Amino acid sequence: MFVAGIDLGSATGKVVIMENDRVASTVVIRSTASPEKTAALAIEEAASKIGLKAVSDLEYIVGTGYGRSGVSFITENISEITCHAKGAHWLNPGIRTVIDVGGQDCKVISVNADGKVIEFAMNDKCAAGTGKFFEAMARTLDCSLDEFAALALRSGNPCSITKQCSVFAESEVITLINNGERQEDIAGGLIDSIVRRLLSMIYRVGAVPQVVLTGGCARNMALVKSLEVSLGIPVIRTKEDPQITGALGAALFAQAKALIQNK
Amino acid sequence: MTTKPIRGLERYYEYRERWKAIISDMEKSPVPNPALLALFRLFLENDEKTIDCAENNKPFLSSWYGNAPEIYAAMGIHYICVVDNLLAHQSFTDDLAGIDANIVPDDMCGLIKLGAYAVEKGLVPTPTGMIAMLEPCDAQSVLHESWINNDAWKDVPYFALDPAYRSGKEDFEYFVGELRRMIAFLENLTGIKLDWNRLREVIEETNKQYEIWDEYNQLRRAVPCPGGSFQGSGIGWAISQHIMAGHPGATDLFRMLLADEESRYKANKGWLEKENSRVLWADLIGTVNAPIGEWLEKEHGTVVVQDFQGYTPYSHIDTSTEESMLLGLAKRNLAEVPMIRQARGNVDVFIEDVIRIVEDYKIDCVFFPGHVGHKDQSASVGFLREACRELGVPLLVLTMDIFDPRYLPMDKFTHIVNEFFETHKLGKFK
Repeated sequence: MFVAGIDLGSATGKVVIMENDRVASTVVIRSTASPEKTAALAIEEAASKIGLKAVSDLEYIVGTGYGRSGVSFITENISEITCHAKGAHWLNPGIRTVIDVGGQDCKVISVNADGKVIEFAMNDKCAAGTGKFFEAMARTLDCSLDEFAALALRSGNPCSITKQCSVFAESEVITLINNGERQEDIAGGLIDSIVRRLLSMIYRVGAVPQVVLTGGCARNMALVKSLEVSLGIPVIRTKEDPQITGALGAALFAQAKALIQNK
Repeated sequence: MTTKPIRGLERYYEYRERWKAIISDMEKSPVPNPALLALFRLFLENDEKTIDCAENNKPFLSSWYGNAPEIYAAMGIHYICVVDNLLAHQSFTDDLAGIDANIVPDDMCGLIKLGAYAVEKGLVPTPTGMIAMLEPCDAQSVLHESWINNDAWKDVPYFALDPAYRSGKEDFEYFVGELRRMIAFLENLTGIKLDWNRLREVIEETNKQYEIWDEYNQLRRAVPCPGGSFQGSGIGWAISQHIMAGHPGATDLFRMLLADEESRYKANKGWLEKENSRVLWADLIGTVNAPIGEWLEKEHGTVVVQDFQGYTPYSHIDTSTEESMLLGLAKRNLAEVPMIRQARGNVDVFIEDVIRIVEDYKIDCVFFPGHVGHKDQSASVGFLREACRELGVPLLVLTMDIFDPRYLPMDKFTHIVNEFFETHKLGKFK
């Protein structure tokens, strides 16, 4: 029995197909202008990886993320908070705090021993502290996102960046470039500034170990390391791509729902 | 010969005409809402008094809640709160946009920004005197500072009440001393002597008001809740704190609110046909609350059963002696008025109020708005989180300016609340 979870975020669409409690296929694609189209493309790609003919071969599909409502072939929608908690708990049952930094929003979720959400906090003002911010800053430093993370990791003396609004941070970064600061230290400073912003949200919920970072930005190891230093505790690395955690949670719900349906 | 217009009155004439038009339209309605009609009549009467004082050189004060307005009322001295009308008439003005260009820093409460803007722009008449209170609000002192540095207000004599830190007997006694100093200031300023018998009458009227408000609150414990979100809080606060204290018309209005709720309670009917969830709003209510309450009710079948502004455990004041009256007023204004009650001293009162309300009102979840002006309370969010976890009720922590709906736009608010309700199986997801 194959089931799927789809996480339709602002920047990417993620699909996890599961078979008997095992991850059978995963895919991450850039979001299109239509969530329906993103979902269809992502699921087709994930299904074809394991020889399935897409939707008709999937017993149950759970959707999550910003774009989830209104996708015609999704069986049921579940909140992204619940899905992230479920996915993180399945990856590591010891996890109590999930920090999800996505393309356009970030959230901190406190999870109990059963993987249920106790509490959460979300950013509600702007995209600062999310993937969009990193994209803008990488553009300013004239590098890719991967290069940006690599630069930050090499920083020995991160610059002090005071602005977190991407518009103002950009002008501050340009000033630093013109002042001859090393690119590595500017990138390191940007990472630290975002971690400071995340901390205020993390402390609203509480940083109870074990802590995991999920979402696309979790692939940025400089962010992971800066967070570890600031929190003073290790950030757990997961066996699966941290970007698919929400879709994984959705797939786990799909699996449970399908079992009930087939009883 | 044309006379020079009095600074600030132009706006008050607008308010007066607007109230008159609204009241006239309501009176013509086949089914006028008697409570709203009574409320608007009280507002109109209050504005007419302000205009009369400013036009005819009668003494009037600028004050703020929590300053024992019973005393000015007993002395027959009219008073205004600078921001009241700005808030009440906000949908007809561009005041909200105006505050952006003001000198008050961005991270302060919208109410403070509006208050500074109103005086700066000459939207309120210059008072005879100003009563300030060094409240726990992070920006109250900034507001008063901006007023006394304004050209039109710089010569206004002022008195600032110094609130004690805690809520013990010696704290109330200290505040009695502050109230006595305020009386001396007012007597000196206006030449009017406080009539203690009149103070007794005013306090006894307010005792009645708070007793009815308490009864109204008790009914809200019922499941389903017989009254709507923020209903009594908004009206009760306005008529008890912001118009002449001890006004018999306000007592009648409290009776109307109670009767309306009681009729539904006796018929075993809720405000909503189907009540899915009950919320505690753990702060004051501002201009953002009315649309929030409507949306929660309509979208999620959820009632905000209680909030800090409506939760008014005001004590009955013993009017037997001068000292007992002042002691009662000290306690009421220091330890019972919301915000001053929860944000002054240590965190215990804030947390105890949350615990008591959650238990007594069978609350399903707590919304903490994280109001930008209440940094003191935001610093206590860890304690709140612990309390909610022990109570087993989900907590939603937001970051809002409850007096500026632009700070957390409604679409963001609804998105977060939808996620919260879906996650915790509340509201329409129950």
